[in-house]
Amino acid sequence: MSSRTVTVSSLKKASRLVRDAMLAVLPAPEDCSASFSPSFLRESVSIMKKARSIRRRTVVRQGLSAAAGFVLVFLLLFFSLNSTARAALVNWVREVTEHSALYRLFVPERPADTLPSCTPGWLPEGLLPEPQTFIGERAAGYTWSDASGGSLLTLDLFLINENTQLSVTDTAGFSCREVDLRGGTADLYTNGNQSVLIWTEDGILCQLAGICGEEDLLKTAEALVLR
Amino acid sequence: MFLLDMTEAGPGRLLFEEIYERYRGLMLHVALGILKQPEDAEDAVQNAFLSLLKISDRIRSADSPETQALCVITVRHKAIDLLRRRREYPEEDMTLFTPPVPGVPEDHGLAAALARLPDRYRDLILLRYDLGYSTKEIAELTDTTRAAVQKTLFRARRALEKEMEAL
Repeated sequence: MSSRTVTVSSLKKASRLVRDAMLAVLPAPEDCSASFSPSFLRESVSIMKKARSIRRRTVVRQGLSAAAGFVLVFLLLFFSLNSTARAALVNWVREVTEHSALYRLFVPERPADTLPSCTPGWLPEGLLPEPQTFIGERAAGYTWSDASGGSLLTLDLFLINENTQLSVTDTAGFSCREVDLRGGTADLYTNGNQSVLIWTEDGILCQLAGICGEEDLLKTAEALVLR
Repeated sequence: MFLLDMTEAGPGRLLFEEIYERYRGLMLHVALGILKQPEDAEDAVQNAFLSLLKISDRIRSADSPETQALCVITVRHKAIDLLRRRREYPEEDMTLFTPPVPGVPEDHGLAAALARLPDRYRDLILLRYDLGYSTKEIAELTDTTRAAVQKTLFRARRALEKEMEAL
């Protein structure tokens, strides 16, 4: 017979046959009533103590594994269903990464007189980046719109310095309030239909405007990656 | 799951305790057949249980043929180890004294060849392919390294192929 016929499945089948034959020639366990020495019995007590200790550890380990599994499934469900939480997590991871020494070692800091590039960490559902993003030396503009092409969100970035005078005009019909944003504050203008967020950050004036709810606008602003 | 294991073992009683109670007589019988001396045989049984403890979480029931085979193979291994330590048999001697397993159907070539292998090879193949233990678990059972188990398994398969050609 060729050696090529020794496959794992044939080996499993043959092993089972040999095991059955091996056990068949031995007496049944219940027929083996042996008497053991006192030292053997003393040693048995110690072995059983070890067995109980291992069992306890195993139960604890399995319990912890099960709990960790439940937590993981819960977190996966939570983050897949809740876009706000997902955006917050992405921001947190990004902040932790950007503040790490390793990141600073490999990614040089943006020079003070240049505009950062912008990547959205989160966008309202259905919005896509427009191809005609404008990036100049002292200003940049980004547009995100839905499939119909209607402009729904725009972000304008301007380089500013200590001499820059900021004033907001044409605010008739808009109400204004201060909101917490990206570790600082921002002005939120809204007229019920359109909302505008204005804030400054690392020498940049940012203006995010959109025909969407305040909540979506704030979430988009929080998740912006400017570097 | 761990809850199921505890139910199998009965309230307040470990599965391992049941295995110990059930098979220690049989294991002593096997060890005595090899070592002849009751004190040495008891040592082999104790050593076997200490090794079985290491993989006790893999054992699912006390009275299955798989558990019985595991206990028999482990105690036989420990008994032969004791013999080797006494230098009665050199380490490289694979023939030892265990006769081929009788009662294996001759028309099953591979099983017949496996039954004729030296017990050290045969036992490792049974542990790996019949009982499904990993090489790491077999190494824990036999107090050796994973690499040594892999090497012996490789040799065992080669010996098995030779045995089949001879049939």
